[in-house]
Amino acid sequence: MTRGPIMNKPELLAPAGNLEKLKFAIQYGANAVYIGGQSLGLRANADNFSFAEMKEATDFAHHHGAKVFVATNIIAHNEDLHEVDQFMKNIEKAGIDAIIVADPALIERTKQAAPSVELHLSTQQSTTSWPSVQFWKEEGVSRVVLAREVSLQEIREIKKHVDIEIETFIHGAMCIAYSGRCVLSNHFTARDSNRGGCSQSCRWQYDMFSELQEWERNDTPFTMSSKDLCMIEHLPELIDAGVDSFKIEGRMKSIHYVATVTNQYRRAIDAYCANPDQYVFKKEWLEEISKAAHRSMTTGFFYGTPDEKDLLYIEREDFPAFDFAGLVLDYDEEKQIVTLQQRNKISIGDTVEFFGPTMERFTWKVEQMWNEKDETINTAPHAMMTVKMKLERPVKANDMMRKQK
Amino acid sequence: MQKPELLCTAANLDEIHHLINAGVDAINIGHEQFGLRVSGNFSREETEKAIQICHEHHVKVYISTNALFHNGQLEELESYLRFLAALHADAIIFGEPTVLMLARKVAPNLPLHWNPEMLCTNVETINYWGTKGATRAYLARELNMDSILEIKEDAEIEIQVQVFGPTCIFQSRRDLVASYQNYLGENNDSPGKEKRLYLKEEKRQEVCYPVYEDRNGTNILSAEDLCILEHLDELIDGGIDSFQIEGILRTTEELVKIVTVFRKAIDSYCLDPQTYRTQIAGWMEQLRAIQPAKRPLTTGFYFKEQVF
Repeated sequence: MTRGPIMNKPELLAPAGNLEKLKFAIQYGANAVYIGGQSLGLRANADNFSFAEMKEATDFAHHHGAKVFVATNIIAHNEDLHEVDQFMKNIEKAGIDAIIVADPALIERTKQAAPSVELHLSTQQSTTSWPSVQFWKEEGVSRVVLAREVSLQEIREIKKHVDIEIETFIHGAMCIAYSGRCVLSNHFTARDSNRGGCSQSCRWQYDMFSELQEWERNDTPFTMSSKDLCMIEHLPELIDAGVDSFKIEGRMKSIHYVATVTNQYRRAIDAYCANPDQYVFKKEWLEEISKAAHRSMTTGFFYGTPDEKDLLYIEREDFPAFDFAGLVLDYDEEKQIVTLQQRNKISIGDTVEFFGPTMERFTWKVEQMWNEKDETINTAPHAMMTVKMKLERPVKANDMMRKQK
Repeated sequence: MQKPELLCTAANLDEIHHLINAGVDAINIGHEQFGLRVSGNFSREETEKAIQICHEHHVKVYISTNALFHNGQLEELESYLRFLAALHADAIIFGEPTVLMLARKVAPNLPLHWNPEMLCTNVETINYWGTKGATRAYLARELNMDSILEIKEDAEIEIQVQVFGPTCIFQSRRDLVASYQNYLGENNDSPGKEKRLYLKEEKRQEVCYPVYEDRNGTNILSAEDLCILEHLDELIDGGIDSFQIEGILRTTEELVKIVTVFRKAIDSYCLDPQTYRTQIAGWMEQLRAIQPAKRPLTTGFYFKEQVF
């Protein structure tokens, strides 16, 4: 029997570290984005949103048919609770669709203070079984973000037992501990990991030794650094398992990263849902992701407990092979000239690549450039400067240009 | 004066006998199939025996079922809860709602203690779990003295704090030690706690964090032993209900000495605070005498500033 198109497509949920990233995430295919407010979140050092910015974010997102969630996933201390009611009222007023919440104290307060805001249980609660999902459903959350330790088979069982939205991470960096069950930061740097101070001490280098034997320092240090999750090759299984929302990690990541990664998942989901039987995974989706991502990749716990092959030891992090070089502001079809905002140094002779939300990427050799005053230039060295370039293939505003390093 | 309960973990039946003689009011035992970082694995027979012995001596028994459970473990967990209810265990310790949901069904009369390790940090969440059936909360070891006392004031259920021993600082479902050994191509037999493995930060070689694996994954413990003996008076005055000594990684002999000191300290303070104060130095001396090299006794986060 052949299957028709899948009508209830899963949501693609992307991180948005600031307003600009939010707009790009949505333009590049996210159905929803998650952001941080100026408190109650786990990225104290991120470029977080004020309530006014949240309003701007929801205006933009809702106009494009997308949703905005706010991560309020700290494990609260008494003193954090005083501001919760007002914070939730403010985000409700700003039109936020849901909060991602871990601490029941915040859940209870939000139900009272901002009843129209939906509650998504954060992965910080490490929800790993269907009775646990059932418990949270009865508490009134509309969605559970499962622990990263849950396998694909377990997701199927959970969906079978409980009628609730299930969200899983499909891409990005992973806690090596059960999320939340780690206070390495508190011990090593006196920074409270569960209130946004995580110093990622797990990725440091350690020596391991035994009290019972003579200690020899090993050249390969012990570390607890996971490769990044990447499920682009396995989306059909996740969609068939009934996962309602696919989450990409990375509120601290660049625009280039968010746009590139989000867009490849967008393409894969759309291709599968349009015609599940004829779906073929395209290698170029993974190649594109690798241009913006900088760690090697793993499927995490979806197919069993990860082992040494899923960890980073002496292979230190490579930087991505490509730099975000320019953002397309405008294209003059008649003159075949693109206007770009410079994001990295561009010079005559560079080979660059253009890509966008729907276009097929192509490479181009930079032959002629002008500055804002239409003076010929050989190089565009200044960040954010406006550059014009001869380009014989059409592009659109908000397409991007990247350059191999 | 309301005397707090003195609670200690036990690794085996023999240790339980010694701890009872040393004056514990309650013990905490379990099996790694259901409990996190238990100091020894009690079979069902041993659990039954432990409860029998303790109840003969009016000592309570709390069983750890604080693992993070996956679907595949539900049947065995349900069976275990039925078993514990039939034995009249004095409480089960849980860390996430799977246990709550199953206990409602098969062991509705078993008292529940909430211990999610580092996640028990505010009084509203504690009282929330109280409305779900918890009768006690074991506070996060990362809280300071002021927060502890403030929580106790508004808590509607019993409050337990750790007064001695290592604290858990990390739990992963992954077998990180075995993975490392595999990566190095070394022979590896299960890197359990008997292997006495430690981690050192590259930049602070004098600080040693115990690390080991069990069937719940990889556990890392604090580099120091918490010891709050010198401040017990504040906790007793604050009305804290239970003082836990974590005995993991210690010998029975050491543990008996530690319990004996805390027994004396609690009794002494409740009888005569003045006498208590004059004896603190001597007791600390006794504790330091049995402290392993490289494991300082500290007050943990009780008086330490943290930022975020």
